Amino acid sequence: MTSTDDLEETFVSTPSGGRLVARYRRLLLAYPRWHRDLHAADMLTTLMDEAADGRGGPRAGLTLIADGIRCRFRVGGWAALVFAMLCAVAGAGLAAGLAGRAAWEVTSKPWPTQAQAQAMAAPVLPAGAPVSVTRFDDALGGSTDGVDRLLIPLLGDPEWHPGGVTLHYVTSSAAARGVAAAPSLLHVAGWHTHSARGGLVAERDDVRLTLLAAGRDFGTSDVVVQVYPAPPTAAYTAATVGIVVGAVGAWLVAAAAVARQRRQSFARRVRARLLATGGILAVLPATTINVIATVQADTDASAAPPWLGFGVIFARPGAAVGAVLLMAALVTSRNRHGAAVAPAPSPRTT
Amino acid sequence: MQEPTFVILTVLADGEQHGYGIMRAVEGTSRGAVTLRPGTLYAALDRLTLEGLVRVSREEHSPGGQLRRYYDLTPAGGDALRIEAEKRRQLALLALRRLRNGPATGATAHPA
Repeated sequence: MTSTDDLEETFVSTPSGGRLVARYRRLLLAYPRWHRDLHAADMLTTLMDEAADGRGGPRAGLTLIADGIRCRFRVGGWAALVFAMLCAVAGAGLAAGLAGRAAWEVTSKPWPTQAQAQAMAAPVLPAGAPVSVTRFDDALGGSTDGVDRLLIPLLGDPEWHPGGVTLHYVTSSAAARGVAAAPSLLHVAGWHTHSARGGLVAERDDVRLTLLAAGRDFGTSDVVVQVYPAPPTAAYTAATVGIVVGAVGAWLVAAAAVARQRRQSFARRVRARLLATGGILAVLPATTINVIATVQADTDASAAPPWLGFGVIFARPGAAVGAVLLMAALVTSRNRHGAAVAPAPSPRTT
Repeated sequence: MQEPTFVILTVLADGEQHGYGIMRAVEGTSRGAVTLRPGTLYAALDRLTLEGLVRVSREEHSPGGQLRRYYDLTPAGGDALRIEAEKRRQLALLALRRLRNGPATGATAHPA
């Protein structure tokens, strides 16, 4: 068997040996950082021993990479597995929300002004002035109520509206029945129309118009017209990519954190696990809603934006608190130097 | 206990070994039936160390900065190996007894 000194002589001191060491060092990068901190130096010696026996080769390099990637994904124990799966869902929702929002901002048409909305909806607007007009330049809508305007940014919104300009008419039932002619009127004006969820949806130049006539009593009927930028398909495509990337990334981070904290003191392990469990439970509602909003994207009728979960009541503060707890858990899972502690030789008993 | 774990513990029952030594000894002990890649070996050593069945007995540092770590069995590892070996022995004995005393084997098992 080759001794360490022989190895040094045979490999490291020769140009080809130095190249081999450098190659193995590169291949070991396939392993996660915690594993490299613990085992890379010893593994390198073993790999050099193997090469000295003529047992290495290109195939050994490929299997080393495959083993390293497997090691990155490996989580031991059912509790760690459940935790990694929940982290994957949370990561998917977070990335879907961020990617969807970014793509939305870049590709969406500008928010219409009230005058623009009224001009565009002119063919189908009932006679007279609307009883209320609201305008929100946000895909998550908002509220005009004073208290709600204070609480929604903190707690989230119990209802979702698509934003844009909403014109609300209280008109006679006869006038509301005139809504039946709306599809042909809009069609003449160049809109593509279809019925959805009890109303009429029309699109033209990436702007969407929805028309809803809701009978309120025998004498009057509500007609609600909304005009807002059509949800861009690119946002849902980006969010779908975000789901995949976020799930894989979060799984890798969770697997590494689980592996690192296993070698820590009992107190530190308990602290990390409590923080991680609290954090993941707090972020899950918002991130799960984001995933559902992306997967159920229906760009034909009132598709919710992929970051909807960050605006839903209680899910919004939950996501913020959960993110802080998860960051704290991640920091706790690291030692002072941010690395796993290599096993020290045990005292021998003879 | 899986086969590679059993063979690694069996190898270490003979005394401390470094990584490549374990790989070679596993191959020899199992007569080539079990071969370990470095990735598989260190995944197993990582787990066994964590479970307290194996420990790092000493380290050698070469002047070139290389590290060679030696592993040996802990008392708990010895106990685990003993229990597993006994279980396997009982199973093997049972199998042999049944083969000896069973209804019939080979040609006699089939009607003439």
